[in-house]
Amino acid sequence: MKRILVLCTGNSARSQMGEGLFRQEGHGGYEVESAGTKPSQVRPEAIAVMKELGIDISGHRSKSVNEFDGQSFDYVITVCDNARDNCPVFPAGTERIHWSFEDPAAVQGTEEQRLSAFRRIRDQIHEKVRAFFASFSA
Amino acid sequence: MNKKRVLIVCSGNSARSQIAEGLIRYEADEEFEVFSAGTHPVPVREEAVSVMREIGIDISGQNSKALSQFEGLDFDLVITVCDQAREDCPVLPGDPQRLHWPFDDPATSTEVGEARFQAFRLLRDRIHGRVMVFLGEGARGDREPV
Repeated sequence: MKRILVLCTGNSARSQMGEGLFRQEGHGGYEVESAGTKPSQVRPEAIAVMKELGIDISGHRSKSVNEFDGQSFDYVITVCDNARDNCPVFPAGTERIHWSFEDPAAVQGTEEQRLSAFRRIRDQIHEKVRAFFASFSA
Repeated sequence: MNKKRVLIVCSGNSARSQIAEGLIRYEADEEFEVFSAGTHPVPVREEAVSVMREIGIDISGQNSKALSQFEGLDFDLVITVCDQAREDCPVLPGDPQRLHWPFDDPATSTEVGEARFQAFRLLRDRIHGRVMVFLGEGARGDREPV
């Protein structure tokens, strides 16, 4: 089974949503993991907006990329904004793909404003994940 | 800090090397002065400009240039992004460090319409991934000194 590792800094929002979306869209054909260079906590807003799509990531935890040392992945996908975001680099892995997404956790404001930011990034990631799988079936 | 001079070379200087130029400048403008050239230059592909614009990077001002225009200039690093260039790329003065990042030429794709754009997007994201690894190696200190 092909293995995918989704990476960002905190493994709290973007890479967690990415993990859930890759698993969903991969229809069981891929083993999906996510990690961060500075793991913290899975953001409740990420869990909430994924639940809106019927995807349960409440059991995810924020993990350090070090936990995956020595493992090999077919695809390593980084989902941070840019190099200034301290985007992590995983040395192993044959195919490296980078997708820039803003950090929804950086949005301040009311709960509704924050959820709105998470939904926007969730949908952007979803679109990229769909295109990723579509590129193999084309 | 003196910027390192990077030259990115492929055959056409129309897609891969143009995308890589835009991405390195976008991600690390403070560290690198970036140029690109082709051994057989042809005009910059509209699809390349378009998919770069999608991620907020404007390369519409970049031109396709012949490698011969850079003869006699010194570079710290030369990155070839296609096999064709590796074969054709002449020896440059100053003994620059060489890196080879092979990518398939998206312009030879027989796809049309949206599928063709998807091929360019996937290429863009793969080059972006390679650039991020390259920059990360530098940040961690395990890249060869340029």
